[in-house]
Amino acid sequence: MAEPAIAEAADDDLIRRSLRDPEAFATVFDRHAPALHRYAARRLGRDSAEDVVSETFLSAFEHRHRYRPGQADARPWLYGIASNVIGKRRRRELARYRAYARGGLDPAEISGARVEDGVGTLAVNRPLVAALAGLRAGDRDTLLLVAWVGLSYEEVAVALDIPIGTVRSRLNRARNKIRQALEGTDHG
Amino acid sequence: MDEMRELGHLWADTSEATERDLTIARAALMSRIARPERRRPLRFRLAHARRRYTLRLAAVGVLAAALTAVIIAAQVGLGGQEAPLGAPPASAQVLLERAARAAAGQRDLVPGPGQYVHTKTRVQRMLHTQNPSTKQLLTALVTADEERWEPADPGKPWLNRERAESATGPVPRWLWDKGVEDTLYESSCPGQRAYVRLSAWPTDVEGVRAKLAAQAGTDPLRMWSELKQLVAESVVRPSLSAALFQVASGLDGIRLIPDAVDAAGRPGIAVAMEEGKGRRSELIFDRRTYRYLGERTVNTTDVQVKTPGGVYTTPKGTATGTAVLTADLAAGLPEVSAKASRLRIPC
Repeated sequence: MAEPAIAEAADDDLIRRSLRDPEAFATVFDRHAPALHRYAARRLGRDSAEDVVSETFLSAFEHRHRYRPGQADARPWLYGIASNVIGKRRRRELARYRAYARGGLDPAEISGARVEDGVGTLAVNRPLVAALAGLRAGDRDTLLLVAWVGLSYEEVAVALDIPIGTVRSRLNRARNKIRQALEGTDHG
Repeated sequence: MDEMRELGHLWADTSEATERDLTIARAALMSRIARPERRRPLRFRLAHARRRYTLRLAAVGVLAAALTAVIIAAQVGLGGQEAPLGAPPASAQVLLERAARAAAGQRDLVPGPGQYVHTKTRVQRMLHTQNPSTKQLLTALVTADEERWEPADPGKPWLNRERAESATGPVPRWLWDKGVEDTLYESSCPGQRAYVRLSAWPTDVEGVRAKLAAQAGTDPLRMWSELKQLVAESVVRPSLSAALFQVASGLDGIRLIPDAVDAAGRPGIAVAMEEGKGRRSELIFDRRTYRYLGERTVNTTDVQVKTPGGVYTTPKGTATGTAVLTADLAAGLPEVSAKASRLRIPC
């Protein structure tokens, strides 16, 4: 049976095909790079986002022979790599969060967002961002893969190569800390 | 306070990357793909904006190399049994077929209880108004950002948020820029919200064609108009989009527009149909991924618009439309402006 045309192929088909026809990997990039850029921009700022995308896809291409067959959606794999790439820029990420929490960074630089205009929004976001900065790196990765990428617990487990029970415990711990920070805001 | 909801709102307006945002990253990958003997990945550090611009210039060379790489790779592909990559669709039917495949490869957004479907769009529309002092008739093309939150559960309100960002034409800013405008809709009618209406549609081609014909009749233009609206709404349900594109490919009168630009300025490739009265409407797709970008209507001649205030002329070439920027799920409504308009839609 003929292989499906590129545009309709599942990610694992494309990655398998790219072992002998490397250009097929470009379709994986076109499919996932825009959203991955957005995720990286939310964590590191837009200036670093393209760098993260570039390094993630170059690394993914280098290691595509390790891709687990049968996983039609490459997002857990790609965001797992991206988590490592972002992890190498942890200082930058934390500095950015802390600057925002202090109000020392122009919010427009972070998001260009109108929603940042509201004093109420800032009152919520600042402790929220400060709490993000205070999380363990693994807990933050887990939390943001669920909250911002929309991965399931099983997909996060694949992305970060950890047992699903660890995903649950990390998520519980992170959510508790975020909740406490927000409740502090309410009482403050 | 729901911490996941607050976290979901944090910097949620960050848009997905455009083709331009990814130019260097894609060029780096294509360079790497073209040189399989390299063992270590190229690195492109773009840490600071100032360096970024320097690198943009430097990237011209990289891009040239990458383009060469693409050509070489495409030629290799032509020698094989698979279709060549990057070959543009030769007809509207081929484009719609590819768009259907691309949509079929995407996941539907299925909101859970309490969740909202949240879409961001950029809209270009004509504003016809009158200068209150001089009574002069004025026309401007306004570009606005729109967001919409639609609940999964019946009985909950939904929100439309709009802000005009720019305008071209002799209309004073205060006439087109009203700041953030929130409109909160409430209705007890089960069919009023787009998501609920969409979920009632089948996703098989024949089922969709039959339902569309039942609503719009079999006139191709009426089917196209109804279909265009459904396509715009079904970005959250690409399985339906896929069927709609296949239905569209069977309509008489469609044609290919190789160069189209959506309301967000993204270049694309479009399928169009002449609507008569000097207007052509288009469905625009990404040139590489064939994902749906948005729709627009283009004036093919000068068009006169009659309003109670007078007759306005919009020139040939004017385009209005909607570009879809993001579609995702939100845990709840954002804080609604105190000045929000509240509309109750009766059944």
